[in-house]
Amino acid sequence: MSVPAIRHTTVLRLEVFAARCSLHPDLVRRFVSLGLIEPVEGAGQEMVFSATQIGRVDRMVRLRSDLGLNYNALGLVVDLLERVEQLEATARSHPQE
Amino acid sequence: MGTGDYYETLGVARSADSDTIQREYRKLARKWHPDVNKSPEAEEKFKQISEAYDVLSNPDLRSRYDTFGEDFRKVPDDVDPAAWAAAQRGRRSRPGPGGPSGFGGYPDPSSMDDLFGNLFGGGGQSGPRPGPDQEVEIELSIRDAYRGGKHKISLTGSAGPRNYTVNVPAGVIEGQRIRLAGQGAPGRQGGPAGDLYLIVHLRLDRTFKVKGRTVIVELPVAPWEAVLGATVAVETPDGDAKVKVPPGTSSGKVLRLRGLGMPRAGGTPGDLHAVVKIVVPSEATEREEELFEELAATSNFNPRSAK
Repeated sequence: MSVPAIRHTTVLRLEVFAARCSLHPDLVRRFVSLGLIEPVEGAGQEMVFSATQIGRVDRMVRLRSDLGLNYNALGLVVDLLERVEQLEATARSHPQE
Repeated sequence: MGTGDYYETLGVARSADSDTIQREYRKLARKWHPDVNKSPEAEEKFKQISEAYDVLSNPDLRSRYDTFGEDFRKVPDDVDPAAWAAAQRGRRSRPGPGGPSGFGGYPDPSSMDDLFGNLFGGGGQSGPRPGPDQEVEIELSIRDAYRGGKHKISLTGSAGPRNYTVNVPAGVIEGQRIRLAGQGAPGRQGGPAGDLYLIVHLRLDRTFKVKGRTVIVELPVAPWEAVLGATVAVETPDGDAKVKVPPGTSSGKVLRLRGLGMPRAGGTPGDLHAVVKIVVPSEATEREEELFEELAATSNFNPRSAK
């Protein structure tokens, strides 16, 4: 199957976002109410998501099914992984003398 | 697919109890999960760990594995491990994995893919899932980074070593990421593969230092060149260039050569900074000594009271 490339500034409606994440919209809504992802704007049916969040959701689904993380741990782990990535990127662009 | 001994994979003894197996599996799974560990071998490692745990955590599968060895999946379900082991002992002892494999003709009931399909599809969240991105560091010399061009790299991944010829753009800098789309870990359930990022690391160089796009090079200068001024050759990553040393230049002075630093695709290149270093002859000739003595007697320059 092929997924067309999407620019990272793209915003997606709930149904489209859920389809891109291969999840039921209800589960995406659940992720939102658990504070795991945040819509760019709107609420309920009108929620709109940034396409950058697809990777975050994919990662959460993989971590949950592979390591059996619960939803609380999931948010913590994904936040920490993102922080590590940011720090690594900063460390790389400011290498020590 | 031969993936080695399951006990070795998990680093446990053959007599390990289920608690130990679960504990070691969890430790390894945390360490090698492809979302946590970005190295390309993590994906294969995680698969092996999961496969080993899948078998060893199930008492029935574990006893079949112990008895029949790595081909246990080819043994028909109605062969009882205990009875089979007893029968083997009766004939000739040949225990342990890797031993019998005479069950050809039966279709392999669960290939690796089936196994992982079940595993990853679990939790009611099936559906195509993209693979995670991977990262690997590539080390380039400063000259190679300056020029860019084709580079061969070899990685160990799930399907054995992978070789790439990568087109490195001219002027890549420390920490820059080169994206190879779709070359990361494979997707699950037909999902697209993740991306592979090559992270540039510039090898230490005896001649050049690079800060951002600025290339820094030392410029050795004779005392008279420093006093009188001169046009001298300076090394750049792209070969020699000429630089004008103005009269009255002291050590440490930075001469900026605009645009001779690291190139930038479609943009302004960085600058080259030539740092002046006055070098004296380690053994002066008699004549040179005479001239310097004359200079010493004539000059009233005092570098330690310079304003």
